[in-house]
Amino acid sequence: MTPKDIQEILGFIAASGLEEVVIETEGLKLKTKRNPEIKATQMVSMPAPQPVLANPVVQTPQQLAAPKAEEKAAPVAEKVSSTAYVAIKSPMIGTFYRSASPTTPTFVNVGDEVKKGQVVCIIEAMKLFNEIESEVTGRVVKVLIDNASPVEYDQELFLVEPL
Amino acid sequence: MFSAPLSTQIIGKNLVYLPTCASTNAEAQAYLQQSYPLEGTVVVTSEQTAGRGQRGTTWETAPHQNLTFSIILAPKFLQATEQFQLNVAVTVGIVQALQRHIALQIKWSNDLYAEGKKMGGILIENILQHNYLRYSIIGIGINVNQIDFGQFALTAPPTKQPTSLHALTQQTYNLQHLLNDILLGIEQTYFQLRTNQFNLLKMQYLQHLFWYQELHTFEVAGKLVEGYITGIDSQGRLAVAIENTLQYFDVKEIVFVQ
Repeated sequence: MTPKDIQEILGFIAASGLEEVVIETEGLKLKTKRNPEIKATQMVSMPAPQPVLANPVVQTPQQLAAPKAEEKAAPVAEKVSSTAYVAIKSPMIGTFYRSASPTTPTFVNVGDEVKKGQVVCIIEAMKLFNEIESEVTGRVVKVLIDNASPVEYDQELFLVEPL
Repeated sequence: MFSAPLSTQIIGKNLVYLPTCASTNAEAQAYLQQSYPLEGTVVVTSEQTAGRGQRGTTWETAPHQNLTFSIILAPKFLQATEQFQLNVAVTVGIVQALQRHIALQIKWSNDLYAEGKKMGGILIENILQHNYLRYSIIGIGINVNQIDFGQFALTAPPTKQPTSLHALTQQTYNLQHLLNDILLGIEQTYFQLRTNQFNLLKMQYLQHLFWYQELHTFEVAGKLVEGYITGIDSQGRLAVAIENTLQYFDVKEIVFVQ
């Protein structure tokens, strides 16, 4: 089970409209729940965005065995947990580009600090080019998608550590 | 030299004329970074030296003969997933504006064709905030009085041969008048978009769609197939009936052959 597999499962669950999902296999226990607070704001103000899986909780065996995991610090740090970081997600289906054009440098790299509102990538959809802005100020810890790869709606693109 | 049109309400009311520039879309981007320009601001040039097309491609245009301009819109009412509606509104607006001069067709998804040749193109660049469109820069290039297309005409494949209004009608056009017409046409369809008239706009898009409901040859996954274009879906994907099966294609998944 790679992070990408988990992402795909979450994408599928997000698209399904299910309120709460628990999947349990030998190697994985995954529990997701839509955030009721988000739902409430959708009803009050602003045209509602499509249902988004807010704060997915991903539990892996290491996390379940919490006391043991502390002994092995390395694998825990290596495992990128979406709870500690904020994910910048794709608002549409399209192609992910890390630069404005093939000849210009990438917008951001791992380790870079980004400001809220700063452009981090372009998603091309049906020949329209969409500049995606970071929703938080922080440091880029991971770029999850390769340049020029297809992305799905709500797929995570970057992980940012809020500063 | 260009000045603001009198007939529109928002588009072109603030008009920036640059005798020469690299790219009107790039200039519009720069304005957006410096300030909060009025919605409807138009950047127009007589000589675009590094016009951009689709990613990594260029838009070449002869100076003083054609229209090259960009419009800054703020379609905050559109969700990211609805962005193709902008393309629909803009292409329909241009086709309707030029209707009295020429029967333009929209070659899916955003090229302007007349008599089977390419007369114009559009490059839309959006700036998103969360899931909504904050700004949209609509770059438009239309061949008007150009006669000689030089090397490009010699090397372009038959389905991408260039043409101009003049080449098809033998008339010379006043660029300012044409710009006024096009800005008004786009404003009308943009107002329709603002009032959520997606279905009306889509009907008009299909009405002017190149190869619509005609049997043609396409290339799909490296193979030649025959099919009919039957429409577009809400994302803008092309619906083609191939051997009695309706299939939907993204822009990179299908090539128009003949």
